[in-house]
Formats: sequence, C-alpha cells, structure tokens
Amino acid sequence: MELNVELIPERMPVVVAFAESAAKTAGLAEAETTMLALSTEELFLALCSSIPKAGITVRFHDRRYAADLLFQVPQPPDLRIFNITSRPDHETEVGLAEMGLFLASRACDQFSIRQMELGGWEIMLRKERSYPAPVQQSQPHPSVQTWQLTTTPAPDAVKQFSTLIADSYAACQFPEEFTPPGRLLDKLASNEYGIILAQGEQGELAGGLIWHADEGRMVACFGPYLAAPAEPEQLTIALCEKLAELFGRSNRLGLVLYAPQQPPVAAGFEAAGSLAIPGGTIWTGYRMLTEEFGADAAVAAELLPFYTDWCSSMALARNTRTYHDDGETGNGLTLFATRLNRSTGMARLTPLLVGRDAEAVLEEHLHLLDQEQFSAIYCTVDTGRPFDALLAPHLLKRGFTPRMLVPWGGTGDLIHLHRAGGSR
Amino acid sequence: MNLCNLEALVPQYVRQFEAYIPSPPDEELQQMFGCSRLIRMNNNENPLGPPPAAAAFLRSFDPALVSRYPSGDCSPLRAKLADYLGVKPPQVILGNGANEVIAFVIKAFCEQGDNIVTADRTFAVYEWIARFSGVDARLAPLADFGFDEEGLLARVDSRTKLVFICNPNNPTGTWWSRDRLIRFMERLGPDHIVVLDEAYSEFMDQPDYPDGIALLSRFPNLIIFRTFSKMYALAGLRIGYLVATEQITDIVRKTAIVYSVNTLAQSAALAALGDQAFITATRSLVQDGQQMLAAQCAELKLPILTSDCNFAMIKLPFSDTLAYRLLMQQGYMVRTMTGFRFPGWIRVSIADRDAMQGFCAALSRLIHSRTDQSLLAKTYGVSL
Repeated sequence: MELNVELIPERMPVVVAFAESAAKTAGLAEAETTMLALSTEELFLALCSSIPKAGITVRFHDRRYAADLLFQVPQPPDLRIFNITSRPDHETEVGLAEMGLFLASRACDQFSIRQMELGGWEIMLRKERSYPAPVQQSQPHPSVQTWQLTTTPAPDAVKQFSTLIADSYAACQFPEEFTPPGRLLDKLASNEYGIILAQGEQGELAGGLIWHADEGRMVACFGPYLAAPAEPEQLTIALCEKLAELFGRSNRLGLVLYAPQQPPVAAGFEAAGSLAIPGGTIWTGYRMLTEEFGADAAVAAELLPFYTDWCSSMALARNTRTYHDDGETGNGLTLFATRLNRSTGMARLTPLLVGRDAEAVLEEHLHLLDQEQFSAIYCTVDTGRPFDALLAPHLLKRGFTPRMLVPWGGTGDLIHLHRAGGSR
Repeated sequence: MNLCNLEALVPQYVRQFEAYIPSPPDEELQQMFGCSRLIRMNNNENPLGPPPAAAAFLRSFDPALVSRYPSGDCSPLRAKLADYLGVKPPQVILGNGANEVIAFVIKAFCEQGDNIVTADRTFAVYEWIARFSGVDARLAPLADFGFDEEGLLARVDSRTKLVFICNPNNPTGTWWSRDRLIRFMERLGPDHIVVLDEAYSEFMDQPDYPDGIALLSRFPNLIIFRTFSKMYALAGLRIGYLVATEQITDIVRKTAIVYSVNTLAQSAALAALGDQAFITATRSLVQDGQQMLAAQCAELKLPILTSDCNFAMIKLPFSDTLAYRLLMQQGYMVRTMTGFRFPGWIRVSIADRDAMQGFCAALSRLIHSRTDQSLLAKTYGVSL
C-alpha cells in the first residue's frame, strides 16, 4: 500500500485513514490502531509545518508482528524536531510541530528517521501488535541424545522453544519479544527473524538459536538456548556453525551473539565485550563473516584504550586516528534516533548527527529518560564517522562506559557504551 | 537525474546483490597488518610462474603490438587447443578468464524464471552470475565433502537449464570418477546442459579421473570449462575456455564477447600449452606441499582435506576469519571458508617450499597463541 500526498494540513484525514487501514490490514487491535493514527496525525502536521507543500510518499509495511508506516520525504525536514526531547512550545509554529512529534514518538513503539541511500529521508512509525501474556507452564525437558538441525521447524516446535526459553532462562537472558509463542511465530513469519532448532528423532527439542537480520550489515543472534542435550558443548558449536553457514555467502559482514552463557571457542565467536542489562549481564560475541583488509578509524582520546585493546584482541587492522575537538564548525545540530523499550526499561540512543550542541542535547535526553525511569541506556559511536568522536567525552562524563566493540557494525566499527540508571 | 529514480531503474536481483570487493594491493595490506612481506596463499596460484616458453615469450614481447587489436576469436590459439584436445576449432570458445566463460554460458541459455543447479559449497561464481542475472541458483548440499548426485537430481526441474559440476571441487578437492559422471549424465538425460568445470584437471593424477572432453561424443549436452590460470600460471593475463559440441558453441558464441582476450594472453597461452615437463614439476611441488601441510596438521591435531589439487582445506578450532587476520599479521594470506559455507575452515594454496615451511610455522604459532588471552579478560571482566 502506498499513498502520494502533498504536505498540506487539509490532506490529514486522507493520511490518517491510510494509517487506520494499514493498521487493520496488519491485524492491530482497536487501541493500537488509534495510537498509530494519533502518531500519524502528529507526524503529518509536524511535516506540514517543517516542509510545507512538499510531495511525500507514505508506505505501509506489514511485519506481521507490527505495522510500519514509512514517510518518505524528498528533502530534509527541520531535523531538530526529531529529537524526542524537543519540548512543546505553544507560542510558535515550530514549537507546535515539536510537540506533535513528541506525542507521535510516545504513541508508537518505534520512531526513527534515516537518510535514504539514493536520496531523501524516511521517517518510520512502528506500532506492534499486542499478544496475550505468556502462560507459565513449566514442562520437563528430557535429555536428547542425538539431534538434527532444522531452519524450518513446525510452528508447534517454535512454540515449544518459546516456552523453553521462558521456563529455563532468566528474563534478562533473552529478548522479551521471544515470548509469548505467538509473537515469536509472527516475528519468524516477518522474515526478519530466523530460527535454528535442534530436535531429536521424535521431534523432541534439544535447543535452538534465533537470529534477527534487520537493516544494516550485522545479524544479531540470541542463544543458544538449550533444553537438556546429552552434549551441550557440541550442540552449541553445531548451532553456531549452522548460523555462520547460513550467512556465510550473504551481504552481511558479521554476526553479533548475545549469549546466556559463553559458548566454547570452537563455536567461532570471539568475545566482543559484555552487555549489562536490567537484571544481569550477558556475554556478547562477534564473528566476522568476511576477510577484512583493514580500515581507518577516528576515535576520541577517552575511548582509545578500550578501542585499541579490543582491536588487538580481535586482531583488527586499524589506522586509528585520535579525534580531537579542534573547534571546527561541524554540523550545526545533534540528532539522536531513539529506541525505547518501556517494559524492560531499556533505551538506545544512536547519534545520526553530532554537532556543537551535542552536550546539551545528550543532557536533555538523559534527563527525559531518567524522568521516565529507564534503567539502562545505551549509546553507540561509530569510528567511521569522525564527528561521533566528539560525543564520546560527554557520554563518559555522564556515566557511560564502553562495553562492547562490533567491527563494521556501522560505517566503521561501533563502540557500544552503557549507562546504568542513576549512574550520573 | 533525480536520484529517487535510480532505484527504480535497478532490477531487484541486482539491488540485492552485494558487489565483490577484491583485496587491495600487497603494499597497502602490509602497511595495514604490520607485516614486512605478504605471501598470498589464497588464490591457488602456481608458485613456479608460467612455463618456460610462456615466460620467454613474455620477456620478448614487442610493445608495439599492443596498439593492434588481438585476434577477435583467438583463432591461432583455438586451432592449437583443438589439436591438443582432439576436437575441432569451432568447438572451443575462449574468454577473459573462466569467469567470463561462465557468464557467456548463463547468458546464452538462461532467462528469468529459469534456474541453474549446483552444490552449495563450491566455486561461488556460478551462483553469483546466475543471481545477478535474475536466474535462480538451486544449491544441493555436499555429501561427505563431494557433489551429491541425488541432491542435484532432486533440484532439477523443467526450468533447469544448466547443472554446474566442479570436478575436482573447489574448495574440497573431491572429484567424481568417470563411472560416476557417466551414471549421473545418464540419469539426468539430454534435456539439461551439464557444465563440467575442470579448472584443476591438469593437477589430477588419478587413473579414473574423467576427461570430460572425451565424453562429448557420448553426451552432447556437456560443456567443459578449463583455464590457463591454475596449472599454467597465467592468472594475471585472464584466459580460460570452454569446449563443447559445435551445436552448443554456435549458441554460446552469440553471447560471447569478441576481442576480450588480449594479445599477450593469447600468445602466452599458445606458448604454455602442453608443457608436460612443467606439469610434472608442478605436480611434484604440489605433492610435497600437501605432505608438509598434512604432517603439520597431524601434529597440531587439525582435520585437513588434501587432494591432487594445489590447495588444501584445514579445520580450525576457532573462527576462520579471526585466523585469517592473525595469519595476515604474520604475512600469510589464506582464504577463509565461511564465504564457501564452511565456517571454521581455511583454504591454503600450495606454495613453494620456503613459503610452506613459513606457513606451517605461522599456523603452529597461531594455534598455540589462542590459548592465553587472560589479560584482556581481566581488564574487561569477560572471558575470551
């Protein structure tokens, strides 16, 4: 579904009707449909104010577990209004637009903006379907002696796997979206997610692993989650190798593993750091899929020890340049893409633009996230984008610590920083 | 041009395809990885260099000749090849490396909606060219590291135009015997074309290794690929060829690019062809190298796949891409096998004795060095 429309307020009912129709097609309930329509209304008005009369395209993407509305605009809108901390100001037209976006971001599950590869900008509103709460049903998991791997398991096996994860692992050891079983099945049906299951001769579950190939060059992998296999180490290795085999001849550059326990070295993942999340810490591993030829990296002096240590451990060939703030003008503004997960208390800030106002914009974001009681805040800096380095001192000053390195995770390598709630 | 329209102009199957990035020049890699010299053991090149007659020709080449176009259809070379192979000149088509010949064949026979069938873990170029031409590539898993007859046949349907068999297979070195190939051809029937890639055939020293060209009269749906890049060490000149029945070459010639094989390549190939002493010397070098590598792997308790070919595959107890980076730091460039869907394996080209000794020592250091990483573990509170 696609709608081409001019950015004038009179067209708003058409756009809202499009959003409602999309939500219904995606199977969203009435309350979620209303929220998506509200987000759409606010975003459309904000765009009318920012780039009046421009022609835009609104696309609908049915993800099974969510409805995405993609607003493609030919020219950059006033990007400042896309920071979720933009404060309502009733006195000016821009202020009203900012208020609208603030509301839009609150009413949907994900709100992001990106510059499209071949020109133009795309703003995404995502509203997820609601699912029934997981049913507690502890089931015994018999020991499985021999198993086979499958990447296309029957729906019932997927449901069993979802239950196994919920029963056998602490909440911090797996993403909440893997439960209840219906949501996991929908995630798999979206084709952004995939699964590898190990099953015994009678179909009994030995364990499995889930991957998520979103946009970008990395594949996020979760697991392995094991039932009671006779040889857990061998099963872990087999699952991880199957994963690497699946993506070995793809356009992906690497796999990032979020593991409930550290896999054996023979599973092929290198340590990439650890991720502190509410309720615990999980081991993170990295597996490069390609032969790399080295790269230039711009890194803030404050992050240099972390970065060089990890580059040395991972044998990464880097021409590392310490990036200093020499007072050059740079970008005029700072813009974060923010992903919020209210149920787990986690927030992720991704700098899209870093400018002279970085410190103030970061401070505003942290203030808001603290107010809204987010207990774990993550931010990434990209060594392939020199201006990101300017953000690093401000992050460290506000309690962030570097925790994880993902080579080629962005334009260059991504350094993941984490700030636990109240650590300022 | 409005950039938004560019996306609409690009077919989906091209948009999805990721461009291959070849490695940068040695000097750049040496600087980046901090090694004083780089030994490439990743492309299965012949360390002896071209046969003496080809080398002599290249040294004496008259630069004035490059202002003229080469023979458009390589006729002198085709005549010699035909004589050497026991076929007629029109049965031979040359290209700018075997990769170009693969493209000629896929373009000649396939259109959108058609498919090719091959193995999942073999030379990637069949699959790549099919995919970026909008042709489906159906992949049969290898069985015991070799092409699986049943798996291939199970994937063939009425839209299957080509079945690619790499014999011996790159990267596993496994091969089908003459009997097995004949059995497969008989079961497949005459409605599909079988491309037998014999890029490494000159390395094979096994009595029941089949000569595909000798089977052309019995199976007119066969196409044989060969190259001057591997045994004859002319990789830098890019020259490969196919041999098939005239009925088939008449079709392939329609999609073949004339003048794509340069003068230097044609003449060097003419000089190199059929130098048996050189072939024997190369086979001997490969055999020595394979034995050295096998002994080193036995000592390190690493599984290895050796063959008559000038490469071997080694299974490592950790990531192959990590091993690649660590070996690069020591000045040895190998091919990681994750891209061939063999995660954890590396493919090593057989080099000269000194290089092989150096590589074996580097491999030994690599395996032993990955056991102690405790410093970083302590610093960042993780175990490696």
